[in-house]
Amino acid sequence: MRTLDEVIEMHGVHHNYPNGRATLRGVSLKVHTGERVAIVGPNGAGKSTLIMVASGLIKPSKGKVRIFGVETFSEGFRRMRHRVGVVFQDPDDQLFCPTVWEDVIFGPRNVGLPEEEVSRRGKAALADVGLTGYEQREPYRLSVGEKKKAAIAAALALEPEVMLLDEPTANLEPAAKRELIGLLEKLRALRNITTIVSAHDVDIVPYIADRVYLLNDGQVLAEGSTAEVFSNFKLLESCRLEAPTVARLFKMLGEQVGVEPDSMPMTLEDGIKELKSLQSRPTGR
Amino acid sequence: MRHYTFEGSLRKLVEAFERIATLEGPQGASGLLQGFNPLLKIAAFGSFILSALAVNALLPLLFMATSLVCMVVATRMDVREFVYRSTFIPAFALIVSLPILFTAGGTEILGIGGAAFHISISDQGLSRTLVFTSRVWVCVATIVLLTSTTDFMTLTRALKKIKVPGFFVSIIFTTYRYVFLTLHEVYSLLLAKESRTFKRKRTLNAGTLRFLGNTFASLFVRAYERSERVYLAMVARGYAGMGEGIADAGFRYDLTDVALVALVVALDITAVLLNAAHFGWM
Repeated sequence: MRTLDEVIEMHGVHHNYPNGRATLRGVSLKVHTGERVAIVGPNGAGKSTLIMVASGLIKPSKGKVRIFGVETFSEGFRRMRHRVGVVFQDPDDQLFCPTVWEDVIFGPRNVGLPEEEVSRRGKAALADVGLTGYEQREPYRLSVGEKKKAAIAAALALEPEVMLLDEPTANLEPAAKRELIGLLEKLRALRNITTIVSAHDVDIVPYIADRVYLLNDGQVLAEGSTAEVFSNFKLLESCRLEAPTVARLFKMLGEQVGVEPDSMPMTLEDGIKELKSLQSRPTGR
Repeated sequence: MRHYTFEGSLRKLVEAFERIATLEGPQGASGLLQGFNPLLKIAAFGSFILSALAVNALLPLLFMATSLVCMVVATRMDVREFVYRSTFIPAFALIVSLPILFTAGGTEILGIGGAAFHISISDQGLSRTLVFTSRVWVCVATIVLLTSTTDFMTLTRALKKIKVPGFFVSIIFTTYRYVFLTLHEVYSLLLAKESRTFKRKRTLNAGTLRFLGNTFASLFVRAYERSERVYLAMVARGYAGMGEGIADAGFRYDLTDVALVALVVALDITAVLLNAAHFGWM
């Protein structure tokens, strides 16, 4: 039964490529309003397909996908598609208009909004991602980081209630990754958008998600809080993944020096806090 | 000494084509034509093209070409860029019309060969070739001016407004988007090949031909896959196909728009009158 705050619900979803190869095998998940969820898995796990199916862009071979209680690919879903924003892994796939401005306002214009509203949304979306002044730039001439921001702005211009981002930090340099993480945080604070992010870069996940679905070979192997899933080192290894660097450092400190943190830190900031707390403990422990 | 590879030359061709196909740039400038009502602009420029097709003499065509260049200057466009973009297709027109030089008849102005073999260029042949090429240039340049001063989305919406069939507008709309994506696919493939080309040869050899075959096969697959992803990106933002995605809009007009139409119509009439005077019809 659907509760009122369910945004996306997938039940027993299968998806096969035209050649018959299965990409998703019985995936079930639920995402609630305001949640930050990450789909984590190695390359080829089916994360991108899951994002496409969960956003109602690809029809599942079997199973049901509901967004805001409406089944995808139904007539009702078409009318509410603008409530779902999608950011593709490769921004070149998403930015298809000749200028950044045309790309950003493509969605609002398609919805049939009045020109004043289209313009307001376009300007607000570009301002939110820090691309004001880029209106007349050609998308294919932007840097990868700028393209990603433009792609996010294009999705934001529809003022979606939920955003699905496929590997948003892929191919970005560390500074651009940090900037993007900050941007996602800012957007959440400004617009209170529910976010679903697919990632194989586990270091960024604790910053952008509170709950994680671990996907491998088209199946959900684990679901839980970021700390719960990323503390299961054996499970992560079995999926050819590693825990975040800070968590691995504390695991090694535990094994080699006998340091036992109160809780396994997942981010650099948590790690520093934990170290400070260990420092202040009485010696001999 | 500079060395060229076949792939490098092809890459330059792709770059040139991209430069020609890119319509943006002057649209953002505050020139004479950018702010005009697109519907009236389409009508005015359409009449200009029809006038160019109606005249048969060089003088009125030169008058029209000069008028276009004046409009380009008033539009604050780069005249050299405008000429570059508008010369590509007329260059082909010139090649196509070359046989007329030798076959049109009239008074010989240049002859080669003797009694056994003789080819000559006649005054009529030269005149017809120049008229044909100039006419093509005026038509193409008018379209370049229209598309350079009107953003593509507005243009497609204006076409929809004047009841051009939805599927036709949709095809134009989608083609324009895919042209750049396909060009980039070709460009990256050629760049990848050139980065691993160490023997620089100008000539087309078996290896290059094999590469070209593979490139185009790969291009089709990549273009197909990319087009699928781009389509999904469009659907994700509400695209419903067949012109539905192009929002309807009301285009306002005022006295300045009417003045533009009047100016272009005046130019049309002048060109037609010059043509009539040339042939002694007046």
